[in-house]
Amino acid sequence: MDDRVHVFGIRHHGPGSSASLLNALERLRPTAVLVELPADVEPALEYAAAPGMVPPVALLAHDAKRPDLARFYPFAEWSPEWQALRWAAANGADVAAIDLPCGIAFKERLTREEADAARAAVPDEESTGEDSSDQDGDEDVVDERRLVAADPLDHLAALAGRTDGEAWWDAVVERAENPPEVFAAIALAMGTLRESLDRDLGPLDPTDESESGRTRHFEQLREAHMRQAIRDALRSTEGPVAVVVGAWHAPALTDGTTATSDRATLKGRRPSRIEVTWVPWTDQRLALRSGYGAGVRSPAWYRHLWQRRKDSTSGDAALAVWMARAASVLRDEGLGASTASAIDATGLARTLATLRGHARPGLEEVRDACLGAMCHGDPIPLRVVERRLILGESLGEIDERVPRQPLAADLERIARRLRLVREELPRDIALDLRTDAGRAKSVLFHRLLLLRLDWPVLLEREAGRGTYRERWRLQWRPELEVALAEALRFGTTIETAAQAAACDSANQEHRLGDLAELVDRALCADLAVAAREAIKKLQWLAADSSDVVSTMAAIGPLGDTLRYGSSRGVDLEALRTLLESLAALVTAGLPHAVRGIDHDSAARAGNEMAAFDGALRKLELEDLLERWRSTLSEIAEQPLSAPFTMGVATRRLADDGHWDGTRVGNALGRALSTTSDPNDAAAWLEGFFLGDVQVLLHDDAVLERLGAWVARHDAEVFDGLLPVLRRTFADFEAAERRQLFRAVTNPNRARGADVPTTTTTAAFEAALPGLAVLLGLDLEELGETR
Amino acid sequence: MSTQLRQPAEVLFAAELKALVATDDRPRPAGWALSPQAVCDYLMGGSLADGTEISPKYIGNRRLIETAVATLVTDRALLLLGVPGTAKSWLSEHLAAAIAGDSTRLVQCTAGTDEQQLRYSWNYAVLLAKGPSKDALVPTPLMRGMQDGSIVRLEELTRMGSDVQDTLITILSEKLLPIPELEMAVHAVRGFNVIATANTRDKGVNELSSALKRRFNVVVLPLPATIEEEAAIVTKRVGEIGTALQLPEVPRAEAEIARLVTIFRELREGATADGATKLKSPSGNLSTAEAISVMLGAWSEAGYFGSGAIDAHTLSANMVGAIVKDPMADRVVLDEYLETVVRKRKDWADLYAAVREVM
Repeated sequence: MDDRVHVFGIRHHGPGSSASLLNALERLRPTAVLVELPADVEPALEYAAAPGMVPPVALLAHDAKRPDLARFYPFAEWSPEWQALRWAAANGADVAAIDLPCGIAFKERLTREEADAARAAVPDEESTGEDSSDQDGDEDVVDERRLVAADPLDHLAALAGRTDGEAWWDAVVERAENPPEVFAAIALAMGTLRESLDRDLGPLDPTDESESGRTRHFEQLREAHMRQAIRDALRSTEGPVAVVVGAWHAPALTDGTTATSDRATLKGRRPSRIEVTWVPWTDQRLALRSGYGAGVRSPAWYRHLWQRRKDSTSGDAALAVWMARAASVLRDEGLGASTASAIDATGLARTLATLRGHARPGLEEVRDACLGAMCHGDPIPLRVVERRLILGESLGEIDERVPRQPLAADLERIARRLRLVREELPRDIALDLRTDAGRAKSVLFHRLLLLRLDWPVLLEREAGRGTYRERWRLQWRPELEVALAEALRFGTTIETAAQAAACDSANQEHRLGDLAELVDRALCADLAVAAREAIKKLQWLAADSSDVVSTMAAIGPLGDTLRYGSSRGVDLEALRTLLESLAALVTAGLPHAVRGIDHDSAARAGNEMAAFDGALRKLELEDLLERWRSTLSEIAEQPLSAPFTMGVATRRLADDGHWDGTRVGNALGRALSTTSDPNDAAAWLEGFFLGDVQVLLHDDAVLERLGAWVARHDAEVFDGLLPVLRRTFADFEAAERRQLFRAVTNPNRARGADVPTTTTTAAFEAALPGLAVLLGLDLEELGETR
Repeated sequence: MSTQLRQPAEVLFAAELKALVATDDRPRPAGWALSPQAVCDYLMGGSLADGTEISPKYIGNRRLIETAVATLVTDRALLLLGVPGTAKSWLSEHLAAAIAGDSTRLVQCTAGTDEQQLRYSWNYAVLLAKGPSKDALVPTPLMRGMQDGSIVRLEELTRMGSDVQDTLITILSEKLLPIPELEMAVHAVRGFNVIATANTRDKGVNELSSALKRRFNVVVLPLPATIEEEAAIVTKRVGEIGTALQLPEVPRAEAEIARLVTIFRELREGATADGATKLKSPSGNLSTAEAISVMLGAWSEAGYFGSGAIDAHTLSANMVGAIVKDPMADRVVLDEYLETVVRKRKDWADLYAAVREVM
């Protein structure tokens, strides 16, 4: 190829590469700068030089019809491509993007997915689980790592006797001051590596459907396209042409493949239309693998290196500055880190570099030194330093002239399909979930809520998921545009973004009850992945929580979800498993949890026990119920349990007939025995009669025993017990108290043949006014109904 | 064969050290027997240019060892921190053996250690007879180390009272030990440095003052990173110790070791090995060293009383005692673990039953 072509093999996001590249560009003064970006993002490149652009920023390319086919191309300030674009703008050189268009890459991805889907359609028991690993839409990242099953840098590093490719490159290229010949050396090294790999892998078979076969095929397409684009550039410009590509591709671009053969390779591929825009990026996202494949693990560290090169600070001074900054970050967090420690850490970093054979300390040495000398070996303070000085917290900005983003476009598309209109005036709509349209709208609304896009507001959901009606209020506000842009960080379609947002909420949430609700919301929004995430988090939290009572509280809502969730057509097996293991934790931990607690805690625990009991019963899980019963028995019979909870437990066991009358009676007798503290006895009774008094109305044995117990005491003791009993019965409804009164006073109750005959004695009659007072009733009024 | 019960590292590994000295052509800091790189090689193992095999002394992260060695090259002292059973003393002994060729300059710090045991004390007979003089001085390991420029080891630094700990400040920063009675001072010779160990998870320890803490670079030694690594360490050490104790022969019990290590790790880390289930952790620290002693207990029980093989029964009897240190809280933890994890593992049914029986 023409000797006007100068290929610069760089490492994406390498500050050292950037510095060498800028020097090289200054010397070469090319009239055209070609960068390894898809050809169809070219229209957006003009904005790179706009004054309002502050890196980190990313190019976002997505298919015009399918926004979920999308890719980000992030740039940091020190990214060689970014510097190349800025240099070209400042020096009046032409800019061209030369990589295979996204429009073709997306099509390739679709074809591949369809082929996979066709293969997966063959029944295969192993692959029933939904694959959620590729949520980020980066499947087509064709990066060298996949090709050789490892980073090519790892191969070179291994030859140099090092284990980590990134660390090796960092030491050899990024950290060192390199002469201009470095690019030739890199190209030579990569060329040799590629040759030997090609030898190992053998000739490319176009029908090879394996991962590496496909990847190699795709690589071939990309490089053919790049070569063609370079030829075009040579035709349109007179001066030198600078080509900025990943080091891996450098040797292939000038390898003498003919234009005819490249045309043949690319023949018949028409790109689909794509949309391109710029979005703000963050340091955290720079650290992720996206776009270029190679994420940078330490953006802020690279920024530091870049800054140092720009200011031409000496290595030692820069290291000292970094350590001083680390000390100051630690002090901001209230951790002691003196100037002396910063000096010591600087010294240690240098010694470590020498020990490891580097010219100057790199990230590893700096981190190790900071840990040992400034953080006293404690990784937690180090994390602060890592977050602020190694990872970084910068957020990019986008010039306001740049056109808009895909999440908004996706929402518009869905809204149009569902015939939803954006109006500033509120409008109420009712949805029938039995119809497809109703369900589709409901799912969309629930997803928007998860994304905190409160265009719709849920007014009312009639009695849980079992029903099929929902009422919503829609009201569009201009601020929602901003919210949409924010939600973009979760994904480029409403579905993927809602999924990611819900997963994110699940990770942030620490309250069991709220998580249980999140599971429900995710199911309503038809987001199985997020629901699973929330379920998993719930499980972790529950195990962590020593608070068995809160765990019980989460089970009620989960039980409801489990029972009604099937109307949403979601697989609830995970939820069932979770519920079972939560219940297992409760049954194991509860007897200890209700020991030696005060009355208020006992009351809370007792109420939750009753609710939990109800929830378990509704679920009809026999095995669990069996364990729950034995837990209840343990609580009811272990004398150290809080009396209130003992009462609740006894009652539950009595109600489902697990304990017979005698056993219940014995428990009652023990609780009410004269040796026990009257307050405890009262608490026991309160627990026993929790919620309603029906057992007294319908179970004569209990009534009798209570009666006998009351009658057993002489006047003095009875006076002592009176306030206690009053407190217990005062909680009942007036109607219940009236019924109770009637049950005690009327010997002719339907089932009351065996009511003690003493009820008719004159003494009993005489005691009636007292009883009425005790029960808080009006005797006159009762007399009429008697 | 020597009758000495246990020999120091520099004697046990004399051959390896000699080979390292012979092949080591890198620059050595003053007073060092080996270059820093060779010290790292001695600890991490490998083979030398002349074919000598160096056995690994420390199984784990090389970067930690590099930080430790680099610290000793600078004028800062080294503090090895970690829960019991993470090879702190072991590492300290081998570091001293490799750097100074002598690991016996050792002070065991306890609550009863006083300044005289760190600085120097007097031979009172001589003191009374001749008055204060150099002859009446009884040097400590620390003082000797300063004089001949070698590595001094302080074991369990934090068990010593804070006031006594602070005696070290001058020695570590000024490299100077004043003897006011004789109007003189001992100046440390090049090569002198201190390796201290301390454990982070014990009662009755005295926090280092921040002035002293600043004189140390700290390396925290972690528990083994993977189940396989830990099981290998347990198997190796149990074999060595058990043979030395002449316990009766029993069949090898890799399967039980694997289960024990899995249980210890899961409880310690508060999550199952697959990360799917979160667990509570008991109060004890369940270190590798404890796993080793549980296995030894099980071995001894199986050999003398049991079936002659280490099985779920002998294991569980020894294991429950190691896990349940707090009779209330730890029992709940173990109970939950049994119900949510052990019960669900199909081939662990025997263990579930055996542990239930013990509890």
